[in-house]
Amino acid sequence: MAKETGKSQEPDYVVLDSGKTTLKDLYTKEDWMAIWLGFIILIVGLLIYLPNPPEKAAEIPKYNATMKEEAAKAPFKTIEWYNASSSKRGIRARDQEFGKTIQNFLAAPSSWSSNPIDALYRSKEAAEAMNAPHKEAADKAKTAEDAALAAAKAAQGAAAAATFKDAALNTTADKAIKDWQSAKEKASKAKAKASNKPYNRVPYLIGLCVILAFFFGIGKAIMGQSLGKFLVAFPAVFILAVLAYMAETQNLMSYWGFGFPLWAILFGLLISNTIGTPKWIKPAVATEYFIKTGLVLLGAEILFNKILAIGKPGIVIAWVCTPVTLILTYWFGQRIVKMPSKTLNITISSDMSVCGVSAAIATAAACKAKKEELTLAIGLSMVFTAICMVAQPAFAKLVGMPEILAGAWMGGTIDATGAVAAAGAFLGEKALYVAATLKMIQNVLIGVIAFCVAVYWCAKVECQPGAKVSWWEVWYRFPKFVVGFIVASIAFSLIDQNVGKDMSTVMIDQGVLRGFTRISREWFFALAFTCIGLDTNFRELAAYFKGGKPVTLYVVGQSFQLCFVLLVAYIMFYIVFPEVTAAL
Amino acid sequence: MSDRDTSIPTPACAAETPQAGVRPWLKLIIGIALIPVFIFGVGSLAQRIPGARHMAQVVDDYDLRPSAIYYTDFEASAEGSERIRDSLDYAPGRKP
Repeated sequence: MAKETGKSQEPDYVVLDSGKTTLKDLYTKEDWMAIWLGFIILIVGLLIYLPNPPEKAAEIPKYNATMKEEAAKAPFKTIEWYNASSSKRGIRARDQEFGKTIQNFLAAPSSWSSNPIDALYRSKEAAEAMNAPHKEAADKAKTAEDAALAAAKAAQGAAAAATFKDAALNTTADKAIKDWQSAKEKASKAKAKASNKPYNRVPYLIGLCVILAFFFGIGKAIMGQSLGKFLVAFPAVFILAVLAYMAETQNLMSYWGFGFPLWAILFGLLISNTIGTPKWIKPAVATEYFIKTGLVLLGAEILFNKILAIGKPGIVIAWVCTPVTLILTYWFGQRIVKMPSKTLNITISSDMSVCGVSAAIATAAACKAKKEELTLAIGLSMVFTAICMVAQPAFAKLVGMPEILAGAWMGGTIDATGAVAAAGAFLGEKALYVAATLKMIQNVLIGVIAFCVAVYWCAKVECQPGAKVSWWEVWYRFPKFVVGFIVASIAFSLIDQNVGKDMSTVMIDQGVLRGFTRISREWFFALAFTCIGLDTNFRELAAYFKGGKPVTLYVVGQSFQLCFVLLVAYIMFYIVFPEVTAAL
Repeated sequence: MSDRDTSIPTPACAAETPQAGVRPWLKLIIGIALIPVFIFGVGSLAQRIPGARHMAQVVDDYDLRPSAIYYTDFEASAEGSERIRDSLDYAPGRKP
């Protein structure tokens, strides 16, 4: 059983053993309560978005027909093809008025550079002052876009006059159209820089704090704990979570990927290891409760159809290289490095080989790792991500690696999902989209890994050597919230499958998930990481660094992954499936 | 869980009990003061690393979020997968 700390209700482990299962567990255990709370949010999200598709969704078949027609007509993507594709991408359920209101209510603090207040409040005058210097550049970019479009139309017209049979004219048209696309992107970015809007996040944050306090507090009350004490304590944890977001959104920190998980832990640690976590805050220091609810929501974002996003090469790179690296790194950690803790080993192996923080959270929860182990894994991941994010694209540029290969390599190896996109963008648009898509496929693997780790830990690791464990015993020990995590994933994958690719993008990905549950999930993780900090001490954390074993494990595993993924990506994109590479 | 495979010693948890006296508060104030030093000092110095400015530029241009922990946390993943899907489903040169 996890060791209960003297004054805190919070155990050392990210997830507790639940012992024998009874019906009472369904409303007294945090695992089950997290499932119900997560499901409530998911159902509310579905009820808000599914009955309200955007009007423009009816035009999707028209755009698809245009692309099909244009693809058959010319040997390159025509202007009409790009316009249809772009119009289709612009249809999103969350862009409707009610979606914007929800997002505004749940929004985290905004970005800032020198004054932290800017993260919470921006006046109309300040917004106008920010826009003014960019207006001229935006107008210039628009003029350049119009000129590029005119040139593209002329070139395409010439190619069409030769019925697309003149190779030279086709090449010229293809290039002119790509130049127009590039000018269009630049104009869009310039317009965004000149479109800053005023905001005041404070009332929304207060409202969100009250709603979350009651949402989680009622759950606590059902489990037999004090609602009053939780309501008093919760705002303190929430304020620290807001501060963690504000530290992330500072421009310099955001460039380096130092996200809210790191800051939330740091702020919590700062309090707990100096003045100590005040007694009155402890009823809201509920790491497991927040993390498990967040993980149930994350389950809904694990859509299995996404693994086909970049065809067979993507599946092989993400779903073969990643588990191989994970297993080999874990084996290396146990046999060669002799890691002092199996849970630390699997948490680091998973965050290094799969996708950083999100994989670390899911794995740590599934194998009942200690909070200090999760903290260590996340810290390592963020430091190495910051290094790889700059070093890998620089290396790819130095050796002249093709964008698609570089994108696949970085997508398969850099830990943090967002850092992958930044590294890809460093090289170019194609590398950005290949890297981000490959990482997305790898993200989906979290569900499988969390489930396998949970089963393996219950059936093998937590047993006496040589002892046989019945399936009932496995079930007793199984972290139950993983059931909610998997059910959410299967349910949303089925909905995703049944509504069709395009409607799923509009209604599920760009509606229920990005417009509601994802933002909620992120808040829950921010609260959880704050609690981890408030309940952790430096000395225990330092003990894990003894002999530098976690760093050795990480460096060796990451080095292997860098070579392995590069080799497999080259084989897949340039030898086995060159037609996919040509189409991208 | 009692036979947990860890040899990490578990020291008395400093996080449990609030400490008395002025020193803890002094440590907290120093800790708080170090945060802006890290953000503005180390953060600014890090911008001198070759390639860092270009990285910052592309992060701004594409409105990326390097700290995103999942693909749904930023727009480029959706944009990328939809572009790739259209490119593969409606690849030029295909007969209707």
